[in-house]
Amino acid sequence: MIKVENLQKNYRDFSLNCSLEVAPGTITGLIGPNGVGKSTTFKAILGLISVDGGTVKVLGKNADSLTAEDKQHIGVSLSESGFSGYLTIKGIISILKQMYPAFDKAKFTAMCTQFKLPADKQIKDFSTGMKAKLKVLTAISHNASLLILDEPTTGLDVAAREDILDMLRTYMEEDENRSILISSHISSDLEGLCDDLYLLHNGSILLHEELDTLLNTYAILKVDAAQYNALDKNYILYRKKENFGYTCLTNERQFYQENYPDIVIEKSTIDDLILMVIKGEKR
Amino acid sequence: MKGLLTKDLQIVLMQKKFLILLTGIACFMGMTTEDSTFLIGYISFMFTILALGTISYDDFDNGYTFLFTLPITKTGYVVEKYLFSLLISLASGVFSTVLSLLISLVKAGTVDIKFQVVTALMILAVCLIMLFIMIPLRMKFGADKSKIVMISIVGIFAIFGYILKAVISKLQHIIPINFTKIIAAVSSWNELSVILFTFLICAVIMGITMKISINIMKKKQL
Repeated sequence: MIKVENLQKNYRDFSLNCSLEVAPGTITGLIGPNGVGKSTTFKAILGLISVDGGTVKVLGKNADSLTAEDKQHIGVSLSESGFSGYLTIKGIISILKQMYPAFDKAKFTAMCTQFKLPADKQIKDFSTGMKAKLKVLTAISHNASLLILDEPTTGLDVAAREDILDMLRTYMEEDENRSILISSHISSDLEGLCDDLYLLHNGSILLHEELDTLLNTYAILKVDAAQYNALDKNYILYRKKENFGYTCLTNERQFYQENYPDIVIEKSTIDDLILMVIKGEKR
Repeated sequence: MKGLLTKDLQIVLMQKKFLILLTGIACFMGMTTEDSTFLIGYISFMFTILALGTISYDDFDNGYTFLFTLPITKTGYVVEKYLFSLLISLASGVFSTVLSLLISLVKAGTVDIKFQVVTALMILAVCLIMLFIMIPLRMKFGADKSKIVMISIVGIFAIFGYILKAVISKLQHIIPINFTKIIAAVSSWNELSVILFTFLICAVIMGITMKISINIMKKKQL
């Protein structure tokens, strides 16, 4: 669905160099702090910016040569951009009807009603949650085979976030060949949704792993200096100096559980992972 | 293309209160001034501004970024803007001409249809030329900067014209050009020829500026 190979984009004070892939039938997450290149990666995938190197293929075509017909198979939600705030849902329906032959007006209208999105109110007067829901509803309204969602849950309360995630789960259940590329700051959203995750930091992919592997085999080890010295460090990916000694990230939880029963071993969450990769030092 | 036209029409119609007020003012002016054709220019010019305004609405609040994820291309977007401008200008031209004819009829009991239509066509051509020059400026510089650039261009043309005039008057001894004759020749053309010639200029400007606009949009980093 998406194949990014050695994508390079250079700005005066920032360089992006990353590779990633989204396979059919999967939900791939892109995580990382603000300003690490997530939106730039999304823009390159959507052909919105020129790139300085590498290739970006979307639905088998170069991103910069996607035709209007190709784009009919892609649904997009961007965090900082959407339809003009001066339009209404009623107006958007007639625009989407003209733009997407597969636009499902009945379903779109029903879901707008379900989420209490007023049809005649200008979008600029919507709450943050309403705007976010409308963006995702728009993206899934035309039977797209690929969804590209940049921070679709940012700034939302738990209930609104869960509504959006449910929408996406249902969308994937409807057709097993659909794919989603999603970014989010809120790691718990991605934990319950994605099949695999890419961690982007300072313009580079630092980690790519399937979510099941991340949650089942990765762990945080909390050790004092003596324990750290005695530790087999072959499976330590990152370490961070702490007051009590070290915090270490491993991708072989079972190995340490079996061989070092005295040390504190905690299942790692995605937040732990991000913190270790960003603030820790690589081994 | 249809989707973009629908969007732009919605943005223009969103300003219907302004359009009604505009028509009211135009009617009042038409009724109180001697020459009701004034309102053709007034309405056409205001609609021209509305058509141009749709570019600002697209650009506002990072709007372009999302817009170009929709099934449109940058070339298609530019072509649509020119088509929409043409349609709006034509619609406002027809609307204002009919209004002017009706006001003339009410005021004087008779109406010079030919004069009013010729006036309307010339105003339409001027509005279109203005639109076709402003579209690439709006796309490149945005609403505020494009006005400054437009004023600068007019200034540059004025200075260029002044220099050209001075140069020609100096060169007249070497290359004899009789401007009086040229002006007299153009004045002797019939109205149809003048209109056709003006619209030909319009078409040429449209072709050139459309190409420039496409290049501007293709280079735009969203």
